[in-house]
Amino acid sequence: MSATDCRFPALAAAKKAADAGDFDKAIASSKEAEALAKASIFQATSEKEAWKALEIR
Amino acid sequence: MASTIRVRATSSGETTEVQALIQHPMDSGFVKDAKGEVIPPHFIQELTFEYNGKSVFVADWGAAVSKDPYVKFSFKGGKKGDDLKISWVDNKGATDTATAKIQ
Amino acid sequence: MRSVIHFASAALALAALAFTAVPSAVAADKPDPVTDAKAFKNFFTQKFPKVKLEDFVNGPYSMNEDMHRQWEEKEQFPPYEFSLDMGKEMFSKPFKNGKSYADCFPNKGIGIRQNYPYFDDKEGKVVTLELALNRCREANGEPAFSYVKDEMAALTAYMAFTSRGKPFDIKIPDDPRALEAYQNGKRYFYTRRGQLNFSCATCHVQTPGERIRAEVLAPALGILNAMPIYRSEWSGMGTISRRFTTCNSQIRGVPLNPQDDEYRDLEYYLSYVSNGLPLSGLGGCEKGG
Repeated sequence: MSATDCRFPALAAAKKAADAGDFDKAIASSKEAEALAKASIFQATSEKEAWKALEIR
Repeated sequence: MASTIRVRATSSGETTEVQALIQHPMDSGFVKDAKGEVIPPHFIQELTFEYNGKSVFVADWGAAVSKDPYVKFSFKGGKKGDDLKISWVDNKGATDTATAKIQ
Repeated sequence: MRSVIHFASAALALAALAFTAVPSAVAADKPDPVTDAKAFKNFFTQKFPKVKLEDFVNGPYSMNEDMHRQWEEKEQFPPYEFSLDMGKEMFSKPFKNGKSYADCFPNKGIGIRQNYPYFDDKEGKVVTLELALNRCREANGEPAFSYVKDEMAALTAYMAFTSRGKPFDIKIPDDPRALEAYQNGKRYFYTRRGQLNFSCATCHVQTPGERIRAEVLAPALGILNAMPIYRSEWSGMGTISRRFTTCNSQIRGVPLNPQDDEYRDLEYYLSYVSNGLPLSGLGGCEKGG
């Protein structure tokens, strides 16, 4: 279990399923991991400027 | 080695207020360490405060008391300058005692 | 029912309008820490007019009367005493090579905590006290301590204690890199993150004094002045690094590594805006804030 596995459990689950030969599960898990990654990219980009609205001035 | 018991006792004429902080891991025996092994129970089972040879506070503790327990209580009597004796025994048979002067 | 929904959607539309209107006024300003700090302090003193400026460092204990009373009682026999004693012992003990922490720090390491973090112009980065302590260890052939465990907590506890009462005195040199680090820290503080989509500001600027579950939230002003802090949740003393990483986990975000650039910059920002407020040099609290 690498540090990456701890940070991205969906990816780790995908790898584990693929290693075990359960490809349907692997595909489902990796799609989940992709969705999560996209969500965090969205959050990061949308918050890039949005923080200024919260700032005390 | 420094005592594990820190105590302060203050008399206000009629009653004496006692505060004590005891250094002890108080492991419940339910917690696992990073390797996944259970940390064995290690906790104070009996805590006694004595004044004039008489017990003014006795506690029978179990696993539910947290690390570094703090105790505060008052008892009737107790004169300034007199001794208050505190002692504990844990489940491994270890003990410690301390004596404090009532202020 | 329908009218409530209409009202809510109208309110949301207004909010969206308000939010889009604001950013344009900010633009790409040169960071102005002095004005920021003043605005920061004003915000909190106005929000809590009955709290004296120096009392903000007591966090939730200045936000809630009952908690204040309990805390005052506990201060007679503070739970952090053991960590403090351990820290004093550790600080005085020389390294294997004969040198000691006193050799790495100005004034032998006594009464200097209020100057950290500082901007190191040779390295071009912010240096925190925890980082400086581990660098001192490694420079003298000792293994570094974990930033999130008891030893670093005890050591910083002792050093903070020797500065008890001294006001934070963080300096931002007129160096674009320092200003950028400051700005980074500020940006981190206000940016939402994690599954719960909270920023540091969500709890510590928008809702101090209110509750998150059963705990009372601390205001961001003076929030680092009591670090390191004893938390009942930890049954012990914990460092700034520990609190930053666990705070991130609590909002279901992926925590950074202790002493990563962003955490150092965050500490820089938070310490600077609390300049002038006294170090309470060790705090204790239950769980929150």
